[in-house]
Amino acid sequence: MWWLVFKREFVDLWTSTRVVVLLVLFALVMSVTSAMRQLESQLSLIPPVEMVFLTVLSAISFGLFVGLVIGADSISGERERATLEALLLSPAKPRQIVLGKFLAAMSPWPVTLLLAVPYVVVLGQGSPSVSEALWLGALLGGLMAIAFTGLGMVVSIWSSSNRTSLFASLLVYLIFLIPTQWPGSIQKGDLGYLVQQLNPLQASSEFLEKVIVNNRTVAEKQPYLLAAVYSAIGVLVVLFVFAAPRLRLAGDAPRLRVPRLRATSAATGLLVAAVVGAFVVLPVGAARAATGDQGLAISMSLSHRTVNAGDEVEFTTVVTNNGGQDSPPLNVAMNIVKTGKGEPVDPEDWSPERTQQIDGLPAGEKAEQTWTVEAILEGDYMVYMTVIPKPSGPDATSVPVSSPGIHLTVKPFAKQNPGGVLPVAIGTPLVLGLLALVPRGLQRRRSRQDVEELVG
Amino acid sequence: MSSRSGVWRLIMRAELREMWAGGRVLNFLAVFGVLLSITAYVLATNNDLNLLPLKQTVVVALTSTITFGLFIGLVMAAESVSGERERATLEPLLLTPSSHRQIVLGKFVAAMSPWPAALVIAVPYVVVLSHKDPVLGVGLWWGAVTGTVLSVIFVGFGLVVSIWSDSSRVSLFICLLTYAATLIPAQLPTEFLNSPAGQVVSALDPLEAAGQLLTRAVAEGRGLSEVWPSLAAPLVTMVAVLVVLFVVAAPRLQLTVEKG
Repeated sequence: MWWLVFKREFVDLWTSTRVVVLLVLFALVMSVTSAMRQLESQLSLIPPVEMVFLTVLSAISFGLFVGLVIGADSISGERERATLEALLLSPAKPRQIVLGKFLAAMSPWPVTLLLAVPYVVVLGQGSPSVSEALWLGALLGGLMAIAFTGLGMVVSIWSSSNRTSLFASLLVYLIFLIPTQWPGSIQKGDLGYLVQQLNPLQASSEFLEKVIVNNRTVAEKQPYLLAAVYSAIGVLVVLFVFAAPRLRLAGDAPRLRVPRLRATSAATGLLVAAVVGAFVVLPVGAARAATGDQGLAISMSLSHRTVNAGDEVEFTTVVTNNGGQDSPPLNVAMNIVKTGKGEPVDPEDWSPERTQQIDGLPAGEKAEQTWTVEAILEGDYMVYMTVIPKPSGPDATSVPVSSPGIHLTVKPFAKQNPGGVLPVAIGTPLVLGLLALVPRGLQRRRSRQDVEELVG
Repeated sequence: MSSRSGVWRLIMRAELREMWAGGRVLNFLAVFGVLLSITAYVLATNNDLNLLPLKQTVVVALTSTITFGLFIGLVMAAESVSGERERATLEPLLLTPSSHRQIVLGKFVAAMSPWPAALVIAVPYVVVLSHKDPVLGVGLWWGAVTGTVLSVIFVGFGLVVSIWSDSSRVSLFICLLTYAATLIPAQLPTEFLNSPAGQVVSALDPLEAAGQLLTRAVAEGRGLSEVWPSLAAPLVTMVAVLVVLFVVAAPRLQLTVEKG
């Protein structure tokens, strides 16, 4: 029976202008943005691989958006048009009806992907990443389309009108979209990474970018894939195990043991549950000297330190010229390496000053430098310095000298009330939530008085 | 004449009562509070980790306030006319002695009301995040100016769409799709946004332009003479939206939407 429902829905969907108009719009936007990106690529050297990533991401974003809108319309639309009753009276089980509609609502995604293929191929300019981007896009886009189409359908099953289901679905979509507006520096740190991994939209974008653009392996960025996987599984379970068997003519939210859920709160709860399911444990995590061939040596004032994330570590280095000749100008550069697996360290985040210059050292002289490292992520790190003598000319080179390392153990960020924000962060929504309950209470009291007047 | 010209106030009052006493705006503000709390907690953590400078923290808090806050006005506006049309309550309104422009003005002012409330709610967050640095005053001033301009744009746009939509489903869909589209440029790579085409996109996108304006004025401490290009595009858009709303759309407000 699901096949019949699917066929009818599929034909309805593709013979009406809605999806076709949206796909034409998508193709137009892709053409314009591709032309702009191509032009910019020639002017400002944006690598083709980055354009491939952006095009695949655009296709995924569009695909899930269309799936969400069609899913949100699928049941509540029939309800509004008074055609759901006939469907429920047919021999098809509610789960079969939902399955047929779900598969039909998923159908725009493969078409969107196919439409994106020529753009990806042209913008990729023969880059070997094209095929990888396409199959990863197909995988991730498929998962996201399942999650968001399913979400739209769950909300639609529990909504009495199209307006409610569309609004609730799009509101949830926007809640996920808004964190993507945060600048890069907020999406760092343990909490920033956690939020990024829990939000399927952010996690998918990060996964694709790192794998396609930054040549990271799928296994390495796997935690970012899990949000999409768990969201898809979570939504499917809620849709087919919980919502579909309870499909009714009226669009009331299911009665749980706790008070009745409304469509919006149900949708939010569903996505929050799916996202929480995608919770990914983040990776937990005396002066010595080194001398080089040219008589240059560098010593460190620290050998190891255990700190909390957010603490600052200060230390000094001393560069000594033990050779018989004056040294050329020197650069002292800081390097920070994670000793185990996990996110590679971006030194820019860890220290405001990564290099210092010395204008040459006379024989037997010393120069001292002061450094600061800001421990931002929990884990086990090695901090070491490299002295780089300036080569004498374009045809010459030099031998850098590395210092002994500072073994830095960073414990998790321990402050539960960073910057004193917690009272405001808890108090404000609480007060607003209570205020939002006032009109409901008043309405309830008014209707009770009306009933009493009628009875009296 | 004076009583006729004051009809918009009556409409505004009725709208305000429905929006606020009906609980719709308060529900949105409760969600707004939760979103702002999550953002503020992440900001405070990353500020403590020295990942985010104080001034940038204030800018992001203000940008988030504007992004969330104007969404409420947009939704209220998107529903205001098409919702009445759907509930068959537009006809009595059109039969009142008020001009169509006054009806739209009353609804416009009422739909603008969630923005100041959102800004007031955001003040304690910004105060705590700024650690009472002098950037607080500058930030709140520029946040209020930018947010008000954007709010006028989005509320006006929502009303235009609502006037020309026969159901709130259609108007909501168009408005939310447009809102989502304005959020997309922030995800484009920095190389692209710094290029001439990227700068055009940023200038045309009111949300992106507002973010840039706040960064220049608040985080970089630049004066009006330096930041006006970022304000120019939103101001021009605001004037254009108001013209379309009150000169083109409002006088043509009809009971039904004429097709074709």
